[in-house]
Amino acid sequence: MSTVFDVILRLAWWLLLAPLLPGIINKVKAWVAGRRGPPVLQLYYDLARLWQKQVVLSKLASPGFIFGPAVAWVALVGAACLIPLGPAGATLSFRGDVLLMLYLLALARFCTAWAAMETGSAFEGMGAAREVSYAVLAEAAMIAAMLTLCVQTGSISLATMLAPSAGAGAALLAVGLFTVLLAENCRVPFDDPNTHLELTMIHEVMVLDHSGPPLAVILHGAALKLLLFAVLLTHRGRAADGGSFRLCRDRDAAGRRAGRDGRGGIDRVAARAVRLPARAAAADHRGAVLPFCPAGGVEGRRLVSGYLNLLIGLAMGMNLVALGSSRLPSLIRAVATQGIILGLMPLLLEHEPDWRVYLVMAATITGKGFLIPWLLRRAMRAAHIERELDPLIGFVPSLLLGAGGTIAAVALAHSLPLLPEHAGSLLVPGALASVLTGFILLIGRLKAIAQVCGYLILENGIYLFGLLLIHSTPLLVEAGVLLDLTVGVFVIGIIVDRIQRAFDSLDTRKLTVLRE
Amino acid sequence: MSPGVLLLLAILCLLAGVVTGPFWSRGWLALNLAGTAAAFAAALLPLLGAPAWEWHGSLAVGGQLPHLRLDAVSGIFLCLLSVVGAAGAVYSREYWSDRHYPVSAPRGRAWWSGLLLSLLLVVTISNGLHFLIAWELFAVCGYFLITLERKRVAVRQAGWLYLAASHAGTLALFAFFALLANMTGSWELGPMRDQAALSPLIWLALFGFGVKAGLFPLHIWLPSAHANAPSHVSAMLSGVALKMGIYGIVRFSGWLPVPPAAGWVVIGLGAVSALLGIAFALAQNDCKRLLAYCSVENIGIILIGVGGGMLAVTTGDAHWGRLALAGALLHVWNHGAFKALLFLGAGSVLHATGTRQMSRLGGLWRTMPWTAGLFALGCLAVAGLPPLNGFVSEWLVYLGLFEAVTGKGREAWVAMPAIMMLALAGAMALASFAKAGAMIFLGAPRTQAAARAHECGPWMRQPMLVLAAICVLIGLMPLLFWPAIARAVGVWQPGWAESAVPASLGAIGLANVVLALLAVALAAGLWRKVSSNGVQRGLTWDCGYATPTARMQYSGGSFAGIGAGWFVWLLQPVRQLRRPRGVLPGGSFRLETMPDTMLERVLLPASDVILHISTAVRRLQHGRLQAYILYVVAGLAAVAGLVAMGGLR
Repeated sequence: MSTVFDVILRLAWWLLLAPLLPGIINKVKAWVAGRRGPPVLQLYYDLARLWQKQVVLSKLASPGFIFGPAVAWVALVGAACLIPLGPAGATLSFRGDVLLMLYLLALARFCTAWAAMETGSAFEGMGAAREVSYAVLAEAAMIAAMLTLCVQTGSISLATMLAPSAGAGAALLAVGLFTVLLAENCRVPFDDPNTHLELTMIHEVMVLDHSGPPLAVILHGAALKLLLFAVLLTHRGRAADGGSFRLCRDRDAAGRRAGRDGRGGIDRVAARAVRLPARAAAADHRGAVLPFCPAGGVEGRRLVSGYLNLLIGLAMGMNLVALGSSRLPSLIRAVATQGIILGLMPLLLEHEPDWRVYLVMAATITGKGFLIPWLLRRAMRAAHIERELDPLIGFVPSLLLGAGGTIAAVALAHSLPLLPEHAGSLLVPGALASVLTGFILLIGRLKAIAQVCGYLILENGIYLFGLLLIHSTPLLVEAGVLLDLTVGVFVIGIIVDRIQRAFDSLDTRKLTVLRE
Repeated sequence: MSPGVLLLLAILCLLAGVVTGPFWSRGWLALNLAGTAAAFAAALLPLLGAPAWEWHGSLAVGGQLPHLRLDAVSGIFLCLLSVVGAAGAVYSREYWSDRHYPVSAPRGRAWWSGLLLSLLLVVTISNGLHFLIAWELFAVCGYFLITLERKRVAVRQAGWLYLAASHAGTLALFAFFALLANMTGSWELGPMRDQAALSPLIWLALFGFGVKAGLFPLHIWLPSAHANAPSHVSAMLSGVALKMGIYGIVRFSGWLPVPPAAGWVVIGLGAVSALLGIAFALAQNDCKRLLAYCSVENIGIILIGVGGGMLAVTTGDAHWGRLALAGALLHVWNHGAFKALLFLGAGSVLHATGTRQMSRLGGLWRTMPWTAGLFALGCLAVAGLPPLNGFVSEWLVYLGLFEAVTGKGREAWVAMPAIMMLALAGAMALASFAKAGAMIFLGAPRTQAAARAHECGPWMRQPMLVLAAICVLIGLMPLLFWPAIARAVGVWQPGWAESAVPASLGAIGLANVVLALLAVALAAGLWRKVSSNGVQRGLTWDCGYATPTARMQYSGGSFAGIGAGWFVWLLQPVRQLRRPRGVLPGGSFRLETMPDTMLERVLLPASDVILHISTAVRRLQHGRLQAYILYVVAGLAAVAGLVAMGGLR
């Protein structure tokens, strides 16, 4: 009896709470934009009204047009029931339920796309094509995330996989999952649920022809999916915060395990990664005392380290954005955002920040986040140039290179003999990945402005390395590099202007003509 | 009845079918059904727990005494063979009737029984020499079935390609069995895992059987043969004949010692087949070619599971290998069921409209509701979606691989990429079949032929219903089928015999049942609600445009455009484009065809080079006697010279 009660309670939680989330999001959006916005409960009202309405059906639609949304909704509810709700656990939990969840989401996608194709409308066909194609990428990202969790926790059941575990990858994973959330739920920048311009939409365009109760079911399903991903992300977010503290303990245990039987390959890598802490632990009381988390301030530090990793993860995300954007303004924006993110970091690294740290932070943010981008934008406007048209390395290949480089950087950082306090953070991988991204941009782009952005990202990588030494080296070195770069940007800005005047193009290949 | 009696009955019925087929269609159907029923019953016995049945004949055939063996591994394949064989026979009665094909229909019936008979022998024979004979018989029957409609050039070409590829594989098998007989001193087959010297032979078997199974670089014969054969033959080819390649690989990886590298290679080949096969499928416009490429994908999934089993054997870890292999064997059944269903569905469409091009179809649900519903079910199953059977077997393979990953051994390094490729292939299969189903059955008819389609008759519908029921049954009650699969796994690796049911398989079954019930209930509920609210029919909303036409629908090429664009380096589509020009533009078009890259860009150029060399050499042989005498003299002089130099001492 209690199980039935439990299931009903859970269903009620998911079904009743789901429409609240879009309401809150819309309210916040309106508030930020300075409007009053719709009531938080607007979606509830909409659903209630739609449920009573008459249905307009396309003449071409088969019964599948009604069945599709119904089956999709059932699949989404099923997937939601598999997600554990914090301490309450999941409705049904077994080994491999994570795959059932992924495939239920796929079933929902198939049914939505099928219903969209029913009407024979070009727009809905377009939406369905986009949905199923982008899902290939989202699915790969999801399964990669799940594999990571599975390796981390050694479990393949959602209930234990999502229990707050840890690792340097947790922050990256959270960032990745967040991106998938945005893509799967059609949020900005992938899609905008508010636009009603058919050509630009994915999900919204697939439901153009639905009305009445089927539309209500679809809207509720979409809200449910958003809530589902939000819950999933919340689990990961907690894990990212719980980062380094547990990390010490886990690594310690892993180190001892690896010492005992270092047979498998992955174990060996793990063993290599934990060599230092494990050795430190061995010197201590056989690993009973946490080697690099002094008793005091553990709480504060683990939070700080979690946020730091999150920031570095974001900066690494910006690397990929920079590699993937063909429009120069968005490239500049990515570099600027990365600069601001980097500027915030000293604050987290320093335990008792004094006025110098604040000064450095302010200078970095102003310089990297505003001054240099402003200069670049000016140069761009002066040169009337918006896009990188034919790069030497295409956008998708450079994205793939960048992603591969990021993975390689994480792997490499594991095998470096780092100081124990740096082993758990993403600083080194982040730095390596940024340097690599800078090089890819420098090699692959032809426009001078993109080249400058490459230098900037390269410099950001060096800055990240510099943060490792924040206690031993004054920030002077970093300031010097930054100064060099600022001057460099000025010089290049001037050159850009000159090249533009001389050749009417910003293609750096043209510079070879200057030889004569 | 003992398996022997049942098998004898099956063989006699099928032999009688070969004889009566050409002139007595009703009797042929009855004999075929009786034969497949007997074979099915025989196959069930070992699957239900009877000990393996063996029979040694006393009359030598070709110098060898016959030796038949029926164990659970053979049982799995025999079961599939009899079900699809019976379904195809019933289907062909209306689809390839005497009235429409007075010449080829009688012939086709005889070859059909011959194919079933030879396949039955392939899975039961346990003697190398006889196996080769049965294997050749099967290849030849397949050839004549593919070329039933031999007046068409495309059909003859497809048949020729099939025969050539099949013989290339058989050549490797000849080498394989001859070497095996040489090393063991006997043509008798059976478990010989303890003879470590035999392990390199597995590579020959992998090539020989891989050609038949349609592994990725060896799949060249598969698309054109499947597309051009009559649809019940395509169903048989894809559902059963490809599985004979899998049977060979499973059989001999179970009997021979497995070298450590084999598991890695098979998983790798499987993963590549799965991903690239479905990439080709996504880009096709011909619905039967799409299904054929999708078979390459599914063979890849099966091989990932089989490779997992092989890897687990060499690393000594039964835990996950058992799951992966069980998933693969279950997928053999599942793919046989849903792919046969889809081919029969595509056949009904072809029967009703006369075209396989999806860009000429559309809106068929109105005239062909049964076919549309059954095809949609097949699409869900082949995309591996719950609650149907494709999901269950893919889930088992996934589970095995995930267990390998959590084990953190060396095999995790191959399991992780395999999982990623499998997930990508799964998502692309979904896109492919959303496209296929939608282009054929949804929207408005794109041509007159599509508008004038008609529903297939009961003879064609009933086999599809049976296959669809199997898809649903395996999906909802996987536990019912687990013991049979577990017995086959136990035969493959005797150490894994006592395998308990994975606890989570029951949970999957339960989840599938709940899902199916809820989905049906909610769909019915929503339907009622919609009807009670009132329905108003109108035009499709095209953003205010009042006269949308059928040609304004999204086309299959556009639907697959994004996904196919990622694989353009592999697919190499041939594009012809005429843009509209000027103020009053004339005709404009865009034509895109997808050749098989492996065949047209790799194999044919390579064979051109060989042909070139051969042509050059052939100039030596021109029919002028004087020159021939010159060759003889030159040859003699060369030999004399060698002797004189002391070269031949």
